[in-house]
Amino acid sequence: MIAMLDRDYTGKMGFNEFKELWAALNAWKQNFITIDQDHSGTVEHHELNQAIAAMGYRLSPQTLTAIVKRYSKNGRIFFDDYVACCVKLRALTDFFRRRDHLQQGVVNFVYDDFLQGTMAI
Amino acid sequence: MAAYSYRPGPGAGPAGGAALPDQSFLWNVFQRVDKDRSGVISDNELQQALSNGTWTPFNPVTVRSIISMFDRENKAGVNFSEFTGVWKYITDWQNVFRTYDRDNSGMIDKNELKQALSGFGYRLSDQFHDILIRKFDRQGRGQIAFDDFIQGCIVLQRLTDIFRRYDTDQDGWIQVSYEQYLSMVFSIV
Repeated sequence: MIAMLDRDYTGKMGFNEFKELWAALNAWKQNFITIDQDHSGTVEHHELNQAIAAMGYRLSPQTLTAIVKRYSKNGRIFFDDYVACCVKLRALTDFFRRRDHLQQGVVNFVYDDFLQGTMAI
Repeated sequence: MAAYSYRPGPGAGPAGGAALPDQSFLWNVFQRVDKDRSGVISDNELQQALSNGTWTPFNPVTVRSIISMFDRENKAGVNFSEFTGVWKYITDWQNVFRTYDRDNSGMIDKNELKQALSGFGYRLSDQFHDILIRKFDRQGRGQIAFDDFIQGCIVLQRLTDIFRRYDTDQDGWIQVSYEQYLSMVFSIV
């Protein structure tokens, strides 16, 4: 979570960044509660797909499947894994966006930067 | 001409490496580690058998990485045959760690890390090593213990491999779309 907002690689989060994280966590929690209709504390694959789309991500079915598979335990996704997924998705998306200067949805990465930026997440 | 050069570090096992000891020795080890005698060593059992030199439990993420590397049946554990691969893999890493822990402190510091990665063939910026240590060091001492060192190297290698696969003209640059980027890295980090 810290890495998600730690843009200058200091390993720390200031108060404004903390507020941002708090807001994000609340939004994700509300999202999860809405989808977890039987209050089981878990959601199913297709529900997580919907949750991700509801957050504004436009991803192909294949990408979604790959992402969701990583976090599901016996076909269900628990809240903490769901949060981990949201954090990662947001952090990777932010990193990509910061490199996509022309906003074309395509980035040229040099090896070093690809490694450093991705690994720091 | 490549703007960067590397060759894969320890792949599914460090290059060269330990010779396998005889089967009865390995079988004894296996039985001791397989506490519930199920015939399969689970993540928990392997974790309990390994030491990272810090008196704290071996990194469970590293344990998961290793088991999944050798578990050919998706059973979340390794049988005896698969375990011989695990044994060799870990022994090779122990040898590598000992080689580069030049001051024998039991931890690898930034300089020793630079030597190690350079020894594996990587050419990486100075800042990268700070990032790697900060990301993987669970002891919080600015140095990296055995289990975290393995995990850091595994992630570094997987990212490098996937980058290479996209870098078809080997010039150190790739061009990827947003979804390609997500698909590439989501399963690794």
